[in-house]
Amino acid sequence: MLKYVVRRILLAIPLVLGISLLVFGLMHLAPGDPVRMLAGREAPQEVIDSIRREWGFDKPFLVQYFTWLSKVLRGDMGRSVISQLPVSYLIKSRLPYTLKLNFWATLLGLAIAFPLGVIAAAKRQTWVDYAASAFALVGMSMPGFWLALVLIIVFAVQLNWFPTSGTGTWAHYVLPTATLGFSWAAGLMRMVRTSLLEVLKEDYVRTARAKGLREKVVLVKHALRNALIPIVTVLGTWLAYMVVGTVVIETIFAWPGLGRLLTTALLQRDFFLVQAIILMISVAVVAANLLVDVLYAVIDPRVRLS
Amino acid sequence: MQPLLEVQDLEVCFARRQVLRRVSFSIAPGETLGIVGESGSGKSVTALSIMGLLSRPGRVTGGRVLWHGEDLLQLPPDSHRQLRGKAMAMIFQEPMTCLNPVYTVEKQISEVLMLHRGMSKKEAAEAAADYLEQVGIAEPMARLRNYPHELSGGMRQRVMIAMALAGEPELLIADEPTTALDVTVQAQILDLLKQLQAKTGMAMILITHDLGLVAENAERGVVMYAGEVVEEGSVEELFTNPAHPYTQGLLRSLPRWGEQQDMLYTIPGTVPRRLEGIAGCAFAERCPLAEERCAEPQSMHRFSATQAARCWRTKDKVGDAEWQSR
Ligand SMILES: Nc1ncnc2c1ncn2[C@@H]1O[C@H](COP(=O)(O)OP(=O)(O)OP(=O)(O)O)[C@@H](O)[C@H]1O
Ligand code: SF4
Ligand SMILES: [Mg+2]
Repeated sequence: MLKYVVRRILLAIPLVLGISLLVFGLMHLAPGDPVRMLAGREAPQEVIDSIRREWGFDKPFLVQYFTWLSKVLRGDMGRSVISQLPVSYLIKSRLPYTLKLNFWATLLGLAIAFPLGVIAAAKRQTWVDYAASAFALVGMSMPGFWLALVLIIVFAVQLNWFPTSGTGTWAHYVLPTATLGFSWAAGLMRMVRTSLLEVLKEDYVRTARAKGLREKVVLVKHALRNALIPIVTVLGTWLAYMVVGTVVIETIFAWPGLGRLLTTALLQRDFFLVQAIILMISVAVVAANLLVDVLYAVIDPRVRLS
Repeated sequence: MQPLLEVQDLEVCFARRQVLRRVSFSIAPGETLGIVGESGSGKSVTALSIMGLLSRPGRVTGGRVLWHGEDLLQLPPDSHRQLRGKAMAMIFQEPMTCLNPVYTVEKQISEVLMLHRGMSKKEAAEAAADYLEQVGIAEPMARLRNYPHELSGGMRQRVMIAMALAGEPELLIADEPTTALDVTVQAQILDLLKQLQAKTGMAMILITHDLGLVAENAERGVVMYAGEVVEEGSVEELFTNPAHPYTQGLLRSLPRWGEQQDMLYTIPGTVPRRLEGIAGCAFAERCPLAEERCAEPQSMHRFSATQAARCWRTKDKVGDAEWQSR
């Protein structure tokens, strides 16, 4: 098990390096002088020169990359061209909001998707199953931003129950969490149901029933644990979608997280900031995938060996 | 003596398709009953119906399954569940896929002991090791920590047997327990079952498509064809004096000493896929003795306390000689 985890981590390192190279290289893909881009359109010549010197942009590409990488590793990701604040400071102040939002949304998503998926599979082809599947279908065909707008119109504008933006109290969390959580739950619920139905056909489920175990035990202990294996495998790919979803939702609810920081940075062509956030998000996705791999091994003993 | 289990006129449908028709037989405490028949004849469906494990779209549409005289089909599902694994246990044809891949052997055996015998986790672990030893697994303590994928097919079937024994059942249904195993392992597993049966006194239904296995292991046999029981009798009766042309055919297709393998007799034709259109004898299409009268419904004719066959000719018993001459 430990060997497996260590190997996964070692495999992730070149991946992260590759991503960083890509993120750094992106600047060079854009037409024109990367330094001019980093400095902002109206920057005076002295600023441009100082950035060029500080980040080694007068040197060959690989030297530039390693200069940049060593700075990034030490936590120096440059300064925002707009606010002149250090990028690392900006990220540190926004990250907790994104994490909190995603934490609650994930929790909500899991709390809806798992019970509903299990019940739908257990009671397949009954009205319970049809209702759950209808919920999933509606949830999946509704884009996140659209659901957000509907929720805002109903619960914020008309009923005036929850605020539409800000982060001060728990009430501020309700609408963005609900939006993210529901769009997430719909797809996940379907995955739980399909995967569980597949597993319920397995011989070992029949064995569990032959032992005289209660149906609940058969479902949760014997079937669900196995159904988790394909679910967890897909979860890795899903993380990328979650990131995109968060960016959209944060923008709509004016949520002061990384996603909104990214959209404003993009609009203002604040490239140091954009670079740093994209790097952060990519590393986070790699890390989450690593976690998924470990989880996979925890669930399925056959993975640990190979 | 009241039979341990008595199946009466059992009918099962999968959706609209009927797969069992008027299946009846019984088994006494401690007895070994063999059920033989070709693939698709309904052996597994019969066993699953007794266990209450038929899964959709399979459904019992008629008949009774009497356990100590009480009809299991009328029981609330939860009462039937409580008998499973305890009063009656079952082992299956596919040892490779019958154990849960994500749990250790210990956990899967202990589960039965904790559920049906009220043991604590610790007691169950000890007892589980004991059962592994009983089914002939070396180093039981080490094997308890294994996952199914770390064991061979024969080992897994032994674990399945240990799991079945753990509830101290009165009846063990073994559904082709050795079909998926190597020949040498097959003999070991059957020996093990016989030996365990002698020790515990449980009754056993041994399901197989091999009449030879019934001869070696059972006291009585039931021959199934296309969802029906076509003959039943003691092993001796079935082998020395088979009444139904299908049983006779099965017997003829058994390999004998000194006979060349490629000369082996096979009954021509295949089992009919659908029973609905067939009012008369389901074997008629393949029967060398078929006549007009065979298109009429056939009932069981009894010749002795133990032997009966579903064929009008057997009323005056078709002689082996007549059959051989065709
Ligand atoms: N889940 C199912 N859905 C539909 N039909 C089924 C199902 N299970 C069994 N049947 C049908 O019931 C009939 C009897 O099947 P059964 O499995 O009892 O045969 P068997 O005698 O055990 O054969 P084998 O020797 O191959 O195990 C077959 O015609 C089969 O097609
Ligand atoms: S009833 Fe007729 S067809 Fe059927 S087994 Fe007897 S002789 Fe053969
Ligand atoms: Mg079968």
